[in-house]
Amino acid sequence: MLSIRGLRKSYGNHPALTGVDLEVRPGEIVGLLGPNGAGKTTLASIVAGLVRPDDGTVLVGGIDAVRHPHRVSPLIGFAAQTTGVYEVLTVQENLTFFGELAGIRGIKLRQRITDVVAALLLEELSSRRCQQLSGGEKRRVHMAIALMARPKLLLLDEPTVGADIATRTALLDVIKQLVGEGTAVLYSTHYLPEIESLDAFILLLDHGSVIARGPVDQLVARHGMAALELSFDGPIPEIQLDGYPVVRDGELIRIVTPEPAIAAAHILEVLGPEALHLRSLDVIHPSLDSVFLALTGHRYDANQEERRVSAS
Amino acid sequence: MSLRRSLAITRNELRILRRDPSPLILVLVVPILVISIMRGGVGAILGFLGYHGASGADFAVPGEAVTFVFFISGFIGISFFREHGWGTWDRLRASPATTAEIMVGKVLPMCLLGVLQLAVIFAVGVGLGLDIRGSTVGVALVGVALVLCVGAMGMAVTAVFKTMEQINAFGNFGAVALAGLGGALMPLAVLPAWVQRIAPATPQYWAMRGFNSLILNGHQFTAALLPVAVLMAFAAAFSIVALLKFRVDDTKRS
Repeated sequence: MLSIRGLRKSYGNHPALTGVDLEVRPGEIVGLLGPNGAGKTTLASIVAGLVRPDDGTVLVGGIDAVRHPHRVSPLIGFAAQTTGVYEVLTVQENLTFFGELAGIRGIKLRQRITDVVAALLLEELSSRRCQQLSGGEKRRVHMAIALMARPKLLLLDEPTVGADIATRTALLDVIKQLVGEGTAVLYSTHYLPEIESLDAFILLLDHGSVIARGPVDQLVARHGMAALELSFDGPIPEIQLDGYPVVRDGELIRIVTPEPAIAAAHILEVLGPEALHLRSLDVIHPSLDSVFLALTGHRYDANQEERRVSAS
Repeated sequence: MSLRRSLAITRNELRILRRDPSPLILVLVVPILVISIMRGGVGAILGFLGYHGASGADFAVPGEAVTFVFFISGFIGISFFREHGWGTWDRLRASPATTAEIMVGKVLPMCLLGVLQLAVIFAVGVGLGLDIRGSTVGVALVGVALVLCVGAMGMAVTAVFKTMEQINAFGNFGAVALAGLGGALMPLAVLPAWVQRIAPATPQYWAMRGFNSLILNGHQFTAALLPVAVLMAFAAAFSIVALLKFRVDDTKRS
């Protein structure tokens, strides 16, 4: 459904994408993961026809999306990172407008609105103006608009940011249902557990390049490794631990080891009285988080990403 | 180019206008209020200029109509800028609607508002003493050309300006300043010589020239042709500015 080859984009001297290849087949979710500046939003914006790439091809349903953005837009449902709703209009009016733009009319339009409203738990809100809704409710409307055209390809850029747990659960349930019905989904997020729960094919981006790709379990098996992380109140002590590589990462000390529990016992022994200054001792189990750590050398700070995206 | 999509955008603009009708009230009620206040004084000036028997409404009605119809160019800008504030601009761009369809869909309702505004002001103006001595069809033609010029100017200011503050400043102060310079607030003959020299550079001057010929001087339809042609030339120039400067991916601050 979506085929990307050699996609490049720079903003001035800053490269945002440096040759990305990607395939999303019908009924498949591809999760775009990466920190701030990795190129996730640029990639989604190019597919949506909002940004022109410097080089590369983007085919949506076999149509060149760069040359003919308006021919592919009926195939795409796009929910950008920033919520986009007409604040002074009701939920129903927002859905009506975007349905009409997609060429849906009459009974079909009313039926489609009913379906989308039900899927995103918006029944009781449909006659309320968007400016009266909470952030999470607005996010559901934002997503509902993207679904109005019954898209073959769904582009979701940070769809759950700022959403409460109920909204997050509703959105993820809808996405799973759509994928089951054959919709292709490109899902950009900073929230690793979400992508794990969707069982997506992962594309890990860093500084505009794909640094890893594959199903979650394969990536974790190949790159995920356990580690031990320690933080201290006050200065970080010098630690030498035979047989374990000790790495300093900002205010943390990290020890990568397949047996973190044994390493923890050793380090407490080595620290001696310094152990009294320990603020935290965390065991990092193999997961997407540790895949990111292994491939980039730093932890994925989901809270920082959430703050950044919410602020934008 | 799909007329259906443009009309969907037009209907949406009308829904938004219905939610906040303050622009409608501004462009309909305020000019009528100003006409009521000014017509006595303007009538005296018309007598002084030799238009014996003319009422103040014969100048004040077209004058205020021309002054206030240009506020709509600011409203057009606002209708684009608020899309950026609501985050819906990228939604529109990612929709099947082309840039041309979006433009038409957003400018059309404002042009309809302009036509409604002129019709209401002139209709109420008749009750206040307006007497169209010449061609009524000519007056209508000047009105339509004026509205098209305002629509094109709205697209040009949308293309050129970057912030809502700029649009507001131009839409309000710019409209009044150009009305003064173009002889829509007071008859040009009583204004300073320097204003009379630069007045033809404003579309307001040509609209007033057309209206004055038809209403005050009682000229026939042909008197409307030159003002209409010049107003259309202004509309073409503003459209060219809009085409050259409008960038769909420009960031506008609302």
